[in-house]
Formats: sequence, C-alpha cells, structure tokens
Amino acid sequence: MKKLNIVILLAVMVTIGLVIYNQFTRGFIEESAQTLSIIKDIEKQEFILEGEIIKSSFYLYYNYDRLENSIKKLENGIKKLKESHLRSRFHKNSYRLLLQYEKELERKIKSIHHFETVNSLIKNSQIYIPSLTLKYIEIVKNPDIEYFLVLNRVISSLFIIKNALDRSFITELENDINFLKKYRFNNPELEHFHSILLSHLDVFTKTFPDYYRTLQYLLEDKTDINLINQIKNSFIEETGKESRIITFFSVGATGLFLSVLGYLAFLLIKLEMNNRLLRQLRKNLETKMVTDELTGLPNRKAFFIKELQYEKPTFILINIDNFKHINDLYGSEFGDQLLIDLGRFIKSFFEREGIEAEIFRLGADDFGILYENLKKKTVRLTEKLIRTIEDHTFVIKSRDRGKEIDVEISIDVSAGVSYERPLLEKADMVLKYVKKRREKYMIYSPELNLAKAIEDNLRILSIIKYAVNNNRVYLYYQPIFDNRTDTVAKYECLVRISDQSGNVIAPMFFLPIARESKYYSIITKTVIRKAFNKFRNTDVPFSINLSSEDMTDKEIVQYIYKVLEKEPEVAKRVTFEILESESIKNYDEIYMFVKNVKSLGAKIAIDDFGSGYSNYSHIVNLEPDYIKIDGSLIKQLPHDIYVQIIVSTIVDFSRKLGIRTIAEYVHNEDVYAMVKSLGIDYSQGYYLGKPSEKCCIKKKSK
Amino acid sequence: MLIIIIILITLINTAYGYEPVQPIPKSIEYDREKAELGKLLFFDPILAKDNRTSCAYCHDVYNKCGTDHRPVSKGFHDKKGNVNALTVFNTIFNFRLFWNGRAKDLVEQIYGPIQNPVEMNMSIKEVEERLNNSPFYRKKFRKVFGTDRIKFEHVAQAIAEFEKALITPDSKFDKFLRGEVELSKEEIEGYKLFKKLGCISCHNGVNLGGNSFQKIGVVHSYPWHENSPDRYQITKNEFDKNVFRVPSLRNIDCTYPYFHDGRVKTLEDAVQIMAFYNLGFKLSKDEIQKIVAFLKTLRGKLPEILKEN
Repeated sequence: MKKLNIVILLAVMVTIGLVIYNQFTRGFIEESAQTLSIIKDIEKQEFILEGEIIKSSFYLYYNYDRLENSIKKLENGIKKLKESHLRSRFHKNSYRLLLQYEKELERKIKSIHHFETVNSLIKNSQIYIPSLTLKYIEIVKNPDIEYFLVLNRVISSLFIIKNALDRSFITELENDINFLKKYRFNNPELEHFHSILLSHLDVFTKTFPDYYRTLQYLLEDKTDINLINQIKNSFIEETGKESRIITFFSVGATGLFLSVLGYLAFLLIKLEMNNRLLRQLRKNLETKMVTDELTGLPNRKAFFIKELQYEKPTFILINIDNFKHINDLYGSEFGDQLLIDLGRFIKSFFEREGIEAEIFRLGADDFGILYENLKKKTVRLTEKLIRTIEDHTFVIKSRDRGKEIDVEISIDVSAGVSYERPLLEKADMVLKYVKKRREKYMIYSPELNLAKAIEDNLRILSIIKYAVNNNRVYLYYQPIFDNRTDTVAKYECLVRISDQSGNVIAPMFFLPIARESKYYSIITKTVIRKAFNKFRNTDVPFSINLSSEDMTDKEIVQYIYKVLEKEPEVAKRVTFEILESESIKNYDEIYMFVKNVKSLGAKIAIDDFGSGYSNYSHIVNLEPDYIKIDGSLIKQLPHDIYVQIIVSTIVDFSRKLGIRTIAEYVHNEDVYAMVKSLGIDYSQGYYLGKPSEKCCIKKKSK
Repeated sequence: MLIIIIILITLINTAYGYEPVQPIPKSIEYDREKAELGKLLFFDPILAKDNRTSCAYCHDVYNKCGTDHRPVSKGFHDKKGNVNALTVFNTIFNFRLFWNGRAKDLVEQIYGPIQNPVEMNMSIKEVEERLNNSPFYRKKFRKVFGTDRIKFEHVAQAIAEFEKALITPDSKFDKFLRGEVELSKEEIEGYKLFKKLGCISCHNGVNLGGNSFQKIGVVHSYPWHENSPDRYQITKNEFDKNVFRVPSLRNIDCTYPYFHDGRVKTLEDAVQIMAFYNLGFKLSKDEIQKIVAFLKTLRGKLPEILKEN
C-alpha cells in the first residue's frame, strides 16, 4: 500500500512535471515563432524602408512621416527582439548579431536623416529653378535666346542628374554653370535674378555629390539587411539545437511518465488480481464452511441452513453400524474411503430414484438425506435404500504390506426418519432407539417417547458416573452347578452398580448406556479386578462376561493379558464368557484374544449360544471350553420338542468337540431334570441359586 | 539595377499621386487616468524650484496654442532662455523633440526643461521628494501606477501621456484633405504655391514638419550664433549649423513669434523671411497673402482633454 502511494505520488509529480514541461514547450514554440516573425518583420520592413528611401528621393513631394514610420517600426522590432526569446542563452550569437544590426541601423538612420536634409535642399532648388526660369521671361522683354537656351539646358541636366542619377551630365552642367557665370546684366533686377539662379545651381552642384553618396550608401549598402538575414539564420539554427534538447528532454519525460504510469497500471492490476484472489478465497472458504472436506457433500452447517428452506421436509439420518470397528480393522484411511463411496452411493441412489434430495454428511458416519413433500414414499424409499446399501459390496482400495489390494466389504446401516423439526435431533433420537432395538429404521413419532428414553439414559449415565467415581461398581455372584454332583462348580461374576440411595441396578439397564461412554472400559476393568480379588485366595473357578467390544478394546485386552500373566494361579480358574453379536464384523481380533488368553491359562465360554447370532463355524475357530446355551431355549425346553432337538444337537455337537455345555435360566425342577437328562454338564438359574452379593466360597484347602 | 528600380518607380509615380500632408486623426488612444494626472502636473508649479513656474507657464495650452508668445521664454525666476518655446500641441506626431531634436520621445523630453537651470531648475531627487511629501500626489500616483514611492519616471510618463493627448484635429485643411470642405480660392492657391515653391519638401507629413532636420539659409546664409539650438550642438558637424528639426506648421497663426530665436513677429514676415533665406527671392505681397491664407487653415480644435473639467 505504501509502495502504491509512493508510485501514485510519483505519477502525480511526473504528470505535473509533464504538464509544466508541455506548457514550457508550447511557450518555447510560441516564443520562437513570435521571435522569428519579428525577425522576418524587420527584414520586410528593411525592404519597405528601402522603397521609401527611393520614393523620397524620386518624388518631388514626399512625406517624411513615411520614412519615419518605417524607422520606428524597425526600432520597435529591435526593442521587441531584445525583450524576446533572443535573450535566452541559446541565442547568444543571434543576440550579438542583433546588437551589431542595431548599430548598423543607427548609422543608417543617421544617414537617412542626413539624406532628408540634402534631399530637401536639392528638391528645394530643383523645384524652384524652373519657376526662376519663368521669372527671367517675366523680367526681360527681349530674352537673350542663347542665355535662355543655356538656362533650359541647365534645367534639363539638372533633372537628368537628379532623376536618373546620371553623373555624366555633371560636367556638362558645370560647363553651363561656368558659362552662365560669365554673364553680367546691367539691369539690377536681372542681375539679382542671375545671382539667385547661380546660387541655386551652386546649392545643387554642391549638394548633389553628398546626396548621391548618401543615397548610394542607403540603397547599395546591405550590411544591415545581411545582418538581419544572419540573425534569422542563426536564430533558426540555434532554435533547432534548442528544440533538439527540448525534444530530448521531452522524450525522457514522456518515457518516465509512461514507465511510472505503466508501473502504476501494473500495481493496480496486481491489486485487482489480489482482490480477485481474495474474493475467490473467501468464496472457497464460504463453500468450505458448508462443505464436508472428505466427501464433498454439504456439511452439518449447510444442513442447518438448508433445512429451513423446506416446507414439508422429510429427513433420513443414516448411520453405518459399527463403523468404529471398520476403522479399527482397516484403518481410518479405509474408513474415509468408505464414507466417500457411501456418500456417492446414496447420492446416486436418489438420482436413480428421480428424487430431488440433498445429501449431507453430518458427522463421522452420519449421512442426512433431505427432500420435500414425499411423505408417502418415505417408508418404501428408506427400506429400499437400506436394502440397496446392505446388498452392495463396496470395493475399496487398501494397502497390504505395500501392495495395493481391493477389499470387498458389505456394510449394515440403520436409519432414523423424521418429518418434524428439529429434524436432526428427532431423527437422531429415533436412530439411537433403532440401534438399541436392533432394528433397521424407524420413523419418528411423538408416541415413541424417545425424549423420555433419552432423559432416562442421561439419568442412568449420571448414576454410572457416580458409581464409577464412588466405588459403587461391584459384583454379584451366581453359582453354576455340576449336574452330575449337584454341587456348585463355579461362580459367574455379574456386574452391578448402585445409585446414591443404594438402589442396585442391573446391567441390562446401564451397560448399553455405559458402552457409549468412556466409563465402559473402567467398569470392565473394575469387574476383572474385583473378580480376581474375590477369588484369588480360593480354588473356586469363576467366570467373567466380556463383550466383543471389550475384546477389541486394546486397553482392556492389554489389561487382561497383564492380569493373567501376573496371576497364573488365578488365571487357571477364570473363564471368559464371550457373547457373539451382530457387531462382530471381523473375528480375527477375537480369535487372537481368545488364543492369547487360552495360552495364559484362562478358559473361554460362548455365551447365549443358540440365539440369533450363533455361528457354528466360529465355534471351531474359537475352540471354546464351554458353551452356554441361550436361556430362551432352556426356558422352553420342557414343552417344546423342537427346542429339545436343537439343544440336544448342540450338546451332541459340543461333546464331539470336547466342549462342556452349560444351561442357563434353569428356573424350576422340570427344567433342571430335562437339562440333566439331555446330558448338559452344568446348570445355572434361579432354581439353583440367584445372583447374590455373597457367595459361599470354599477356602483353599492346603 | 538601381536605374531599373528608379525607372520602375518613375512609372509607378505617374499613377501614384499622394498627398504629402496627412490630416490629424480625430482622436488618439491614451491612458485617460494617467493623462489626467499628467495634466495636474503640467499645471502645477510644484515641479519648479521657485514654486511659481509650471510647464503651462511657457506652454499656455488654453490661450496660446501651447506656446507663450514670447520670443524666448522666461523660466526660473524669470530667467530668459535663448530659445523660442515650441508648442506642446501635436508633438506626438514629431519624430524628435526640441529644436535640435535631441529628445527621441515625449518622456525623454520631460527630463530636459525640469532640470534646466533657467527653466524649472529642479533635480530629479527634488521632484521625487516634493511629490512624495504630498499626500495628494501620493494618492494619485498610487492609483495610476500602483506605487507607494513616486519616481521621476512616473512623473515623466504621466506628463508625456497628457501631452500625447494634446492633438488639435479637425482643422479646415484636415477637413479639406478628408474631402469634407472646400478651401477658398485664395487658400487653394496658397497651398499650390506652398508646394510649387518647395516649402512642402521640408514641411510635410501630419504636422507639416517635425519629421526631418533641415537647414535655414540655403541660398542666403542665416546668421549663426554659437548658442543656437541647432543640430551642430549635437553633432559638431559644420554641415549641421543652422540645421533644425523642422517645426510644425500646425496652428502656426497662433504660435508666434516665429523661428528658433523668436525674432519674427508676424506670419507674413516669417513666410517672406523663409523665402528669402531658402529661395533667395522675395515673394510678392499676393503670394504671401495666399500662403498665409493657406497656413491659417491649419488651425485645429482645442484638444479634447482640455475641454472637460
């Protein structure tokens, strides 16, 4: 900016300079032209003066004012020249010539004045002599013819000499005058006439040489005219030099002006370019602010702006199930690519459907879909969208030991739909609800009482927080009986927390909520620590429940390894009951965990086997020590022949693999009898023993 | 070459008949304010040492056509000069001023009489002092020249501007030249004689004189005196003895007495004497009468600047 100011200042200065310079140049040209015109005027006036001199000599009547005017004009010309451009240092020579000319002119003027005098003298006589001749006739009655002839000859010579400037007649005139001088008249009047005549002739002859000389000088001597001519030439030459210098400066000044102007233009253009860049940047920034960087979709902020523009909006919130695990398994780069692909997929889905929908990326793996006024289609659309996504195999490039490979992956998604504002909040509520209920999607309606559920969740979360911070996480123990001996074989450790009033809360109420919080791993670790403390000094086996989340949480896994390594005696007696669930997408981690804990002496039980998610193939890989048959099967065992078949199959299958079976939910004698008859190794249930704070732990027998 | 030019001009001459006398223009351009100030100074004896001599003392512009009718003027303390006062009328048309033409223009001329010991006998410094002591003149000069300090050149400029305005146009002869009136037979014949006798060869131009130096005493020599105000005083050239700037014949009937020494009282005598010295002959009574009749037609009007106030 400072530079620009300086340049602008410079430009203004140079412009002013140039204007002044132009003014000066114009002044110079005008002055030079004027001066030259004065010189030419003088030259012209010189010729006029010459003409006037000739006229004054020739005409008998002449007005000397005319000569004087000519002289005055010349003198004025010199005066003007002296005050003109000729004074400048460029015209020293011309000025010097002018002074010479002035001197020469003064000489000439003096001569002119002298000429006027002698001219008048000559004319005076020339005019008067003819009158005198007439007087002779008047005076004498009988004129002397000879005298008269001489008189006439004299007059004739006079005129020829004067008007033809022919000096050859002077001798003749002088002869005649000498002849006349010999005449003597007795008549005094005549004698007087004669002497006057001779006097006039005398004046003429005496004055004529001077007259002739002066006139000749005035007409022949061209010194002054030559000088004025020299002045003219010298002035033109000097002006040429001067104008060359001026032109040189002019070119320089113009060049400077143009370059400053150019630089200014350059700076202005640069400024404009910067401005344009800035505007573009601002625009980009604005776009960026409402655009999700990863997917290029409009972001959460854009959503809040756009949602207001819809009159009857439908909003679908889509979330990838267990996206965290995908990231953990394949890396965030992979996850990011998946998100990009999913965004595109959703977009193209709606394009294919011909629905004008806006797709947003609202959070980590949350995608929002917003469209107008298609409430009726929504159920079909949502179902189709979820189905299409889940049927689609995303092919994502990944790196495996430096090699690029295509990983094929299918994902499950859940959706929350809302027609009511605030759209995101309500859709989110439904989505959470959907996840909990393990459903695919749901449409928000006030009857869902989701708000209350959320409120409950928050209340429970505060209890969890309180419990963790105040050592209100503790264990309940439920005995597991050996069916052959009807004695307690081991205990299952069950987690409990209590609120400030001491009310004990079951895991089904707080674990799902805890799982979403940072407290979950603390709770797990607390359970493990407390269980180890409880059973350390006994020889009673015990089991601890682990969720798949626990087994993939590095912190928990490391903790477990550490504990097991540290206390191998206790480790031999611990069984980890692990639950198969829909959230397990990659079993490798689970296998690794299982393998590791087994090698450290711990045992593995598969919990809730026979429920919806059970997978026989995994059994082979996990090589569990126990299988815990799902309570829903056990409950129905006495009345349902199909259940009996299923359970006996499981038992049979387990036995062949050397896996012990456990029945849970044994809540009456009938069930217990049936369990026993089916050859299930262990039983657990209210009939045999409820979970309790206390447990009858046999002292280690030494 | 010269001959050819002369012959050419001779040919032109036959078709070129021009009057050797021009009428005085009816008006002349001048700075009125400056001239009015000059007029005040012209009449003010403040410019003379004795405080009683002004320019107007010797140049009576109202009654004596700018002269004083004395053979030679009286100046400071009535000291007699040696020159007949020339008229201040129509001086703007003269090529030089004073009898011997020593001043080139009116401004230059003013310096003479004021410093002349027998005229106004003032030094330039004295004039400036006196005028600067006068609040009246200080005010006037400030108005005209925009100066707080009056200088002699301002005084000269002002008086010259006034004298520039002193032209006497519209004489009968001027009107005749412009074709407005006829001259009487006597006057016409006088004019013809004036030309025929060669008077015109010296008395020509607007002022019928005032535009060349000429000699008095061509045929009969005019008595010369060493105090004579002639060209000889300036050039010291023998030829210039009795050579004077030709005086104007404008208003000649009212600017008597005549000649540089004022020795001739009447116009008739003046004509006769001029004829005697420069033509050698005496003119007849009739001739003189006619010439005088013509000369009287040269009386012009009172200058415009004198009429008002």
